[in-house]
Amino acid sequence: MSDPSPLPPGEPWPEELRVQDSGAQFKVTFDDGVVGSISAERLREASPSADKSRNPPPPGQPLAIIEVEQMGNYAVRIGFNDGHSTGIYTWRLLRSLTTH
Amino acid sequence: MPSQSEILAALAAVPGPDGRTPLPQSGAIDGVTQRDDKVFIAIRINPAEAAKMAPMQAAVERAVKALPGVGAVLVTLTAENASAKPAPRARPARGRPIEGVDKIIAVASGKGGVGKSTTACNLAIGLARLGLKVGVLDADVFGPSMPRLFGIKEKPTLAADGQKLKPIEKYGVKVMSIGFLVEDNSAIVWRGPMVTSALNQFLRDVEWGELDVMVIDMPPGTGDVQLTIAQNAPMSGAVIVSTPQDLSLIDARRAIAMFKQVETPILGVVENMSYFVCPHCGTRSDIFAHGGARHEAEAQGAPFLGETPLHILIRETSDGGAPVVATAPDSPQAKAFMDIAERLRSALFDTANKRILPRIVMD
Repeated sequence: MSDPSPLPPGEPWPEELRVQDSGAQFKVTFDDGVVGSISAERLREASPSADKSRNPPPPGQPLAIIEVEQMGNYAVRIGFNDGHSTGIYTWRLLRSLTTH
Repeated sequence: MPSQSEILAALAAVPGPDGRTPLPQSGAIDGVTQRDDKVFIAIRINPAEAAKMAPMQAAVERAVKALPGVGAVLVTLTAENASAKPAPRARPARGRPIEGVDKIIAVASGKGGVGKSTTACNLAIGLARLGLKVGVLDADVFGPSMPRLFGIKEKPTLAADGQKLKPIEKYGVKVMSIGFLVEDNSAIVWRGPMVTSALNQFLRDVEWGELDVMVIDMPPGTGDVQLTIAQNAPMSGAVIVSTPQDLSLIDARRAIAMFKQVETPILGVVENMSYFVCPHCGTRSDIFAHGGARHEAEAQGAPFLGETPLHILIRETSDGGAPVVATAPDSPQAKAFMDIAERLRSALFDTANKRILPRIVMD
């Protein structure tokens, strides 16, 4: 696991994860009021997966998020239209992508 | 010649293009046709991934070839039609809540032999005695103990819908275990993905009905299977069982660390085989030392839920399929479990777990 430090109680927790603009944007709303959008490109770049290979998205299409799957209590797995779907994004990772 | 459904059943053992979802469920099978002793299977794939699909293609051939009456298998990979790109979707999450089930708790231990299953069984019955609707999912697939502990010998039957298995109800608790489906002395030799799919079925394809609490008896240890369960079931928390000696506590610490890693709160630590009172002379012996689990819980910032003694009544009732909480509720041994069950109930329902999973929305 790439993010071994547990989230202490009181750390921000996402309330809503919203895929927008046909998968080009990922909007995260945290319970402390922080809201931010992460582009699919940035999210894809930050994938914590060990599989770093990159394929182009289908011809004529921009990179897009096509699936979001809950993982236990701590993360989501995000699938992209370039075939990459093994990155597991913890709340903490999403937080740092939202605020930095 | 095998039937279509026999072929699909054989393909269930083959992961689909995503490397995980069984092929028949992946939606990638375009068609299965047969002529004489030949089977033709078409699978839709993303053309960008064609090179990576060769192992899947080979696995499909092997799986179908192994069926009786099949002479040849031809597997063709077809490119997904780019214009028919699937609409963005929130996939039925593996971690999604289970309908009708309010809280899911894991009873876990870092190592085997500490009485985890005995504790899980008695706590489940204890919670039911407190008026909650309780189910036990025996996820200890390699050493299922619930059939023995609950004294259940019958096999589960299909529910009215013909799709789901009905759990077996005993001592006020609904129980499901892989042990119901295999013989007592036959080994379960499974690879990780098989365990995962079996557990998913036990979570989703069992008619649990309305439950306040589902108690999952985890396999001992902190490996792939345990992590998988933690990822597949949205857990409200985990109870760690340990004996007091250092050797066991080291592993309990690992179990706590594992649950922290997947954001599952530790509801507390139980010290089992905490002390021994000699039935002849009444002298108390701290065979495995005493209080170690309490110290460890404190050190890890986890609540200590209580201790249960090493006592022949617990051993005999457990082996005899007549758990002490159900059959000798007034004994001090049952009381020890009931105290823990009460603390567990308040940890679960009083300080309501406010951390709700985020909504996932696809605009």
